[in-house]
Amino acid sequence: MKKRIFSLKLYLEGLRQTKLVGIVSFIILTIQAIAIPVGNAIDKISYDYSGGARGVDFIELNPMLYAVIYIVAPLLALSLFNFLNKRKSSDFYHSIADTRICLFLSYYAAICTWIIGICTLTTLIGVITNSIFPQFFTLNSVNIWLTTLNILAASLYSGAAVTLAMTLTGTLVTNIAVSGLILILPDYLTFMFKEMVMSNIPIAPRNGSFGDALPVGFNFLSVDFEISFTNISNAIYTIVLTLIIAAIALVIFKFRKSESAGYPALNKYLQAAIRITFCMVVCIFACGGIFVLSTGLETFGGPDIFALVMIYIAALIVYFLYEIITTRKFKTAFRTIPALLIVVVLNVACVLGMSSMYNSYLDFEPTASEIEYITVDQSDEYVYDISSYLEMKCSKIKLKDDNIKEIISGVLSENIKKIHSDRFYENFSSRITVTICVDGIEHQRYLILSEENLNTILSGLKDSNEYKETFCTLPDASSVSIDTYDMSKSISDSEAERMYSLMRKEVAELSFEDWYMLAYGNTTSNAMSDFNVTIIDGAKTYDFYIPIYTVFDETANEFVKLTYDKATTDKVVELLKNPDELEEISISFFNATDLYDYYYYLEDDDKDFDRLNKIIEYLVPCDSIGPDDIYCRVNVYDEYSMKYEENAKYNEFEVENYSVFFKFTGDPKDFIDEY
Amino acid sequence: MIVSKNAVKKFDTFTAIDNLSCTIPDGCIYGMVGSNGAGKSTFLRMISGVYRPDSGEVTIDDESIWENPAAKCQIAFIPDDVYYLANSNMNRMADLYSTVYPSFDYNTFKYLTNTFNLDPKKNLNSFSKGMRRQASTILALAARTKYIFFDETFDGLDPVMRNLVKKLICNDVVERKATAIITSHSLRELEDTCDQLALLHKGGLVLESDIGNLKTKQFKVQIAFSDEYDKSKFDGIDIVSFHKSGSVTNMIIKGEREETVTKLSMMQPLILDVLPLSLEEIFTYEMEALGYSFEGLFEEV
Repeated sequence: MKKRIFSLKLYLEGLRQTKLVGIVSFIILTIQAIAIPVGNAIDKISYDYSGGARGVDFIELNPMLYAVIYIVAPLLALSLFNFLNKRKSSDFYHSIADTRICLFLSYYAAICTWIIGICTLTTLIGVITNSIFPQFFTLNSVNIWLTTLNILAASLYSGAAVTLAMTLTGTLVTNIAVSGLILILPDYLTFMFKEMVMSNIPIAPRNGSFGDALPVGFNFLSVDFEISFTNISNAIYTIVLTLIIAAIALVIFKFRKSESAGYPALNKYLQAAIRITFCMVVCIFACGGIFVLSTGLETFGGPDIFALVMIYIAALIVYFLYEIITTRKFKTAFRTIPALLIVVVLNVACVLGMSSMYNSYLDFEPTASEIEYITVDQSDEYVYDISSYLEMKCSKIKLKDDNIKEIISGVLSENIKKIHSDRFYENFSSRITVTICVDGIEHQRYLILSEENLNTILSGLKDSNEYKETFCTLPDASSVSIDTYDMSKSISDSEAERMYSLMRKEVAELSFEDWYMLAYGNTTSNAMSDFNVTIIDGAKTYDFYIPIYTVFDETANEFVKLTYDKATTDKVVELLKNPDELEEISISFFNATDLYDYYYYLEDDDKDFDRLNKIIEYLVPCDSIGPDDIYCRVNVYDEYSMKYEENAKYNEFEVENYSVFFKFTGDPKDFIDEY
Repeated sequence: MIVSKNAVKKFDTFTAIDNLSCTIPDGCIYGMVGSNGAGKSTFLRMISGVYRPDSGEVTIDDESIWENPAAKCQIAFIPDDVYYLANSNMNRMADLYSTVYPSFDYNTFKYLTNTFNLDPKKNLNSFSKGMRRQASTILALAARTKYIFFDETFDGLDPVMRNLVKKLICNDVVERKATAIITSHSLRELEDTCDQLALLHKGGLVLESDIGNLKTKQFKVQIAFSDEYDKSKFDGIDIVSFHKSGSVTNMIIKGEREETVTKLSMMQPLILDVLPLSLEEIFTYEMEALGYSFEGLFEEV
């Protein structure tokens, strides 16, 4: 019998031993992958949705797949390699007629198979189910498959990390504890280290979060899935890291002794390393405190010293408690006291490291000539409308103006001086987040500056052609729809796309100032309706509304044309002549130069038929509008019924609604004033 | 043939196997006895490839066992605490054994399951200790390996089952020329099963012999003389144990029986009785000679 590195029989045995976890997970995830789109589609059908297809990201397609990283993959590893925790099972597997490498690789392949199968198949099922309803959902394939790839990579990583922990330890408690260390510790320590330093530097941008401390890679406790899981470099990094972790686990497994089963760690040195690491997780807080104390950033009082002492007491409790829990012996805890010297050394190293990082951050003080370019970030954290989307795009514009470089260089130097003299927040006025590029490396700073300097920088930005061009360019949309639920005639997606192209042209023709005001909603111009736009930018999907302002003549006219229906218009005219039958009327007046923004309501308790009759005299049915026309939109509700179910559990509204445009030949002010 | 050359195995500071050398020929049933902690189970784990010797070597048919699938596929090892998959039954375990033992024979498995009257579909958790032992024996025998190692196999088996297991082991050895190693504290079990017996103490081999030889080469002598005498009277005779009470002495002697009796007769004793020894007595006296005795404890009390 030859030595081999993989055994099909062992692999199948591994799949068999993990089938409970694998199949249950697969079924649950499959149900949600089908249920979500079907449920959403039923919802839309039942409410007679006519708003067009909505962009679907991974998070709306297979959100529970994240559970594979946190639950399924660790469970698969824990259940399959559990034999390493018991002497009799460990002996059995070490006696079988295959090499340890073969056993490890065959079993690990079984874990990977389940993970790959669950991730890809459930996403595929979700994609297929969504594709059945193209009228409701536009799939962002890049986002969906990139996120799936990242989750797959992260799941393989967590599976490998738990497997590594299991090869290093020999009890369930230590398996889980060390798994946690491997998965969380690098990110935790990096984040804490950075946070302790950055929180004491007022010019450091505070946009970090626990989980994205490491520049790339899978972060087990990442809270920002959309960023870290839609990045191809993250996936590649995580897969490479997985291979490294799995290779380390393989080597340890090969040399692991069967008799290690049941013991907390392979040897006393490893046990000490794990114990010290847990202790340092707590000590890092105290290190931060000592760092602040050593740099003189804050004056420490009695309560602070007490807090430091309490942290170190907590660290000692963790240190000894880990030993007692894992060995179940009190006397071994006393034997670990000498190793506390290592903890002391590590604490000193941590404090020195923080001080060094702090000084290095404040040493960055480039002259204007050293600065290659500056970018100004005015964008919000989230894109929620057209202005935030465009600002996000503009935040990448590189400013190379010498004056701006001078201002930034000066402001930065002044900020650093103020930090050193402990007067940073004196004469506080404005703040700005800038990225300063020196020698090809970008440094982000959150600076305090005068209103005058801020305006100069922002003017410099807004005056740049690149900014104007970027801001006045409506993005290419992956899908466009117009919600016409209240119109008598709906607008198809292709018609909406054509209208959107028209508006893109009109925005480009508009002056930057006018469009800037409109984009930020600083206008009296009426919005006839909204474009529901989905933009797929690489792996990111943005969904937001863009108002169809009346100032966009061609687009507005197209809207009137497309929604014109003679039969409905005639019906509305007829209804207006018999207002007694009406439940509610609303009339809003427009014109292209946004002069009018008035509403006229006629409701049950306030029926003013005289005024209505006067208005009707000036209404002219139309299927198009000219730039100088005054026109109005009339909404009529001729029936308002409410059905009560017998058991009164719920009720349902049925409203017959007609909404049409008319030309208005009179002066709206006459009627509104009267009102 | 299994050969151990100066094998040493330590657990931290404890030496479980200390420079052990022995040769176990093919086609025999080899019994191992020894005090608790003598290293019997550790030795079996070493020759099963579970443990790697810290120094020295163990081989099967001149091949190292450690990480050697060619050697390990010939070995089935039933430890004192047998491993079963969680919530499994015998059929499931048979599938697992067929995965790891290329020569696993389902027909033998079915035949033995019927013979032992065990339900292969029943959850092993519901089996008694003895039934679990039977199940492990069935699985090991169905593996059809050249070498089968049983660690404390007869523990928990009733006399009928013990005899059945012994017969099955003997049949396997005879029919397939297999080699079995059995460890046990019950010397009576080994006495009528094994061809060879080894005695381990503190990780070392203190005695290794075939059963017939062991029984004839050691015997008990009760002897009395009219005049005063001491142990020196018997110089030249290999005495394992010597107890004198008045003029009567009880001795355990190692050597050729006829020759020794002739020698003693020539001393003209008042009484000379030669009695055969059971294996249990041989074990006890050998261990006593190595200082493994608690009799003094009770005498003091």
